Amino acid sequence: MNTYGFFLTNIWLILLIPLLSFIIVGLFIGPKNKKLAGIFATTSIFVCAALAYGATFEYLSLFPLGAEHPVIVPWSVQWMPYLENLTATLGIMVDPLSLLLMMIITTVSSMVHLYSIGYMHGDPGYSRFFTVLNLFTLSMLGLVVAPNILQMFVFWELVGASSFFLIGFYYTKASAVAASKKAFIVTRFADLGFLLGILILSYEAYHLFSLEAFAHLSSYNAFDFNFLNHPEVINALSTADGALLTFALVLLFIGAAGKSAMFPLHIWLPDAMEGPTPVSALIHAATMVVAGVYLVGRLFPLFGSSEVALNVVTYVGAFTCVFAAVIACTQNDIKRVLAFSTLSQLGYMMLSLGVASPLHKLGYLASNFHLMTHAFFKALLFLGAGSIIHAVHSNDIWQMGGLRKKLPVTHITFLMATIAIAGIPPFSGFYSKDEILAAALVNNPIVFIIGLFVAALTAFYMFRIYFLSFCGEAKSDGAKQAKESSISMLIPLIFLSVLSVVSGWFPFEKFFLSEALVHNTPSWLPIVASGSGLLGVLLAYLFYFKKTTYANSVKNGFGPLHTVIQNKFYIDAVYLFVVHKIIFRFIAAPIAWIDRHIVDATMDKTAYVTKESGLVLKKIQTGNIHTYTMMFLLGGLVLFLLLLGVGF
Amino acid sequence: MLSIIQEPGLTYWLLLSTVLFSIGLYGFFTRTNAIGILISVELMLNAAAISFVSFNNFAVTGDLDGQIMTMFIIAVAAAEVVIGMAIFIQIFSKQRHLNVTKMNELSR
Amino acid sequence: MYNIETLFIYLLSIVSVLSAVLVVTQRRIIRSVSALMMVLLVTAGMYVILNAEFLTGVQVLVYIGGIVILIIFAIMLTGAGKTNDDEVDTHKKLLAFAVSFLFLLCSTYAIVNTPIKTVDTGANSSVRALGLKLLDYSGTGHVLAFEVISLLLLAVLIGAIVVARKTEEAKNA
Repeated sequence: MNTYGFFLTNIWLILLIPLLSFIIVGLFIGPKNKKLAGIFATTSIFVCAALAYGATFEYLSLFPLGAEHPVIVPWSVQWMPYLENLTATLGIMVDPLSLLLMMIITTVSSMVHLYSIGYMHGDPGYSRFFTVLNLFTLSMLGLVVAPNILQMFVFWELVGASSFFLIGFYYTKASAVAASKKAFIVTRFADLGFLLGILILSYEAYHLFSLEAFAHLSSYNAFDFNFLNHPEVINALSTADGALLTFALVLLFIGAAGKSAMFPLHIWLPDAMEGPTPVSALIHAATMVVAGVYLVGRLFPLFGSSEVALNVVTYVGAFTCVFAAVIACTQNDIKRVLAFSTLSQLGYMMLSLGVASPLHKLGYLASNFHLMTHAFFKALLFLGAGSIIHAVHSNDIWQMGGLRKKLPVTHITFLMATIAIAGIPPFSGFYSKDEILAAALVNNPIVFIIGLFVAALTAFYMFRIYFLSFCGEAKSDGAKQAKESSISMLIPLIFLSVLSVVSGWFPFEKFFLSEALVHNTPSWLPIVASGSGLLGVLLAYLFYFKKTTYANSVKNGFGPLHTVIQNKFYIDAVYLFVVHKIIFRFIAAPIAWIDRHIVDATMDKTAYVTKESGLVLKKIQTGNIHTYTMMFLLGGLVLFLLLLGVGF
Repeated sequence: MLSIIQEPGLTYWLLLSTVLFSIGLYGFFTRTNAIGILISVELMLNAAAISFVSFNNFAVTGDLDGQIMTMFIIAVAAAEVVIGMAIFIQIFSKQRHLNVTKMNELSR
Repeated sequence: MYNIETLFIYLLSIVSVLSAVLVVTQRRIIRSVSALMMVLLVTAGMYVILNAEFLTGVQVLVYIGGIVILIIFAIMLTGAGKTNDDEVDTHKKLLAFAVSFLFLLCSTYAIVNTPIKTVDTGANSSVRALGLKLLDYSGTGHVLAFEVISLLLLAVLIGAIVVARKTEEAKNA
């Protein structure tokens, strides 16, 4: 047994500290001292970040780069013991994937906390904001360190609940309340699939324990990831009933698709921009939406055993990728563009997982690599957008312009993030996107073409924002009076921009695998990939840098098609129609009628009967002594006569 | 049947006592004055006392339990009347009447 | 067959029943009380025939001389003698009569059809024996009941004083 150092033995602190901070800030510090609440919350997340980095360092000193990287579970307690071999534990699993995500989550979360100290200054709900941000960080950390699928599900739901509070932060605005409801309902609906998938999978897995061949695995539980990803288990499950396994995996993917906003469950993400911008940065760029990708990645060996499941993942991811990118080109709200951009990049991550297989692991690696780089530059983009919005007091990109001189730091950092997302070397986005395209080229050329096309679109719409916001002349009074943000908002921007550049040079392969991958990517691939990005930049330059006449003529040329795309293909309208006209009218209304008129009426009538019989029986109590004595005597006589009759 | 009357034994005395008791019972149901009810109760108690004494005379000759019971009945009847009258006087001083059909609520 | 004792018994029975009927039917309370006195007197006579001479004395002294006098006092104090009783409705009277008659029938049936055994203990029945029996603290004695009755009478005494007292507001009113 390896001896663990300080960070690994006390790894449970990474869950305890946000929990304590949540309670202390929420109950004790928050109501009294706003400033202290913000500082306390931020400090606790910085401590968690230090813990995560420390744990990674110790893990790597135990299992160096290039060697085997096993999964270890340094801490777990028994939580829900249902049966032997069917016990859910609460624990922390340490392996390269969870360490990576712990680092990402704590880094981005600490940056967002720091940024919020300046951004949310003066807001009446300042303390509440930090309380729920801490809760969110706790739930996300609990999700990624889960050693079994049941703990992951519990924290999954907790993440959904905290995001509900955060999206609906400005709860006096009706649109914010509606957006948070929508997010919660859509993800909850998808979680139905998730739960069904868990049930089927653990049911099938539990049955294996009764087989003799699995006696040597009897120390595991049916919920554990270690068990579900075990090669023997996968073999047994797929040979026994491959169709059922595929079905369970597709259901799990539905849950992942809800959280990661794949088509057609993507509708909540654009509306979720109603929340404050730091929330969008944390939740919708870096952490919550990658929970779905993480789930598929965690169960990757299982997914790999089923061709159908992988194909579902690939095509849903690819479709979302291109669908979202097309819509992003037409949006006028800066946060909406970034939201659709997130959708598109999530599509990239999903399709990358889909084209991989346990033999060709490049797609799996590329997906996680892109997860990391995307977390950094997308968080930076959102925080930068927040800085712009803070300065200009408007979300509309047509109201901005000429901010290059007025917001220098924001400008530089935003530019760096935009270059990164466009996939231009040597920034990080290039490396991760290149690997995705390489994986796609080998396994699925159609998806490769789609990915290449979307890379060009990504560069196009991102530079569209950049040119319209920072270049040219100020198009409104707000833009003319823009001032740079405070230092507490700028430090996170600078830090994240540094990460956006250097994270591409991270030795990813050695971190995850023990032997080097055989790369047989053609040498023209990096050139083609960056070329399509540069093509997009060029197009945006032509359309938007100086005058927008070309852009307008193209828009008019597309005419009604442009309107359709700008309205997000009217998907929301379709959903509303189905919900209001069909579900409400034919399902919800009859059920409500039954509840009101049958269930409630039964209760009412029972009470009515009791009351009426009470009123009738009340008449016995006359208060008249003659009546009482008469009843007394008659009772006695009746008894006597009865006994007499019985005697006969 | 006739022998019961011609030679008054235990049965005759018991029947007499029962007749007196039922007459008292009728009086109980019929009177509206509280004191009238109490008088009917006295009648009933008296009938019971007669039955005790007749039992003592015919069924348990020589022993005196029946007579002692009768003495106790008389004592208890006296006690009851005392308290009853005291209460009736108090009620009368409040309500100025003693009509039991009007006294059917605990408070006014 | 018909000796003087039997005639006396018949006489006493008829008088008592008639007086009882008077007790319950008279509207005026004073007449009712007088009839009650008659019933009690006749009962005293019956006790003589039933070999309970001491009880005769007790009956007259306590029952008539105490209880009936007390009732008369109460009648005077509450002015019940001045007003006539409210008549009850005829159907109530009918119902009361029916129930009483039913009771009479049931009791008669029970009495007539129950064979009662006689026991002869051969003891004395004089006043001295009565006193001894009353204060006998063996198993067949009644000293406990005697003591309890004394306590009861004491409680009644105190209770009656407390209940019949004039309250503060009645004094001021």
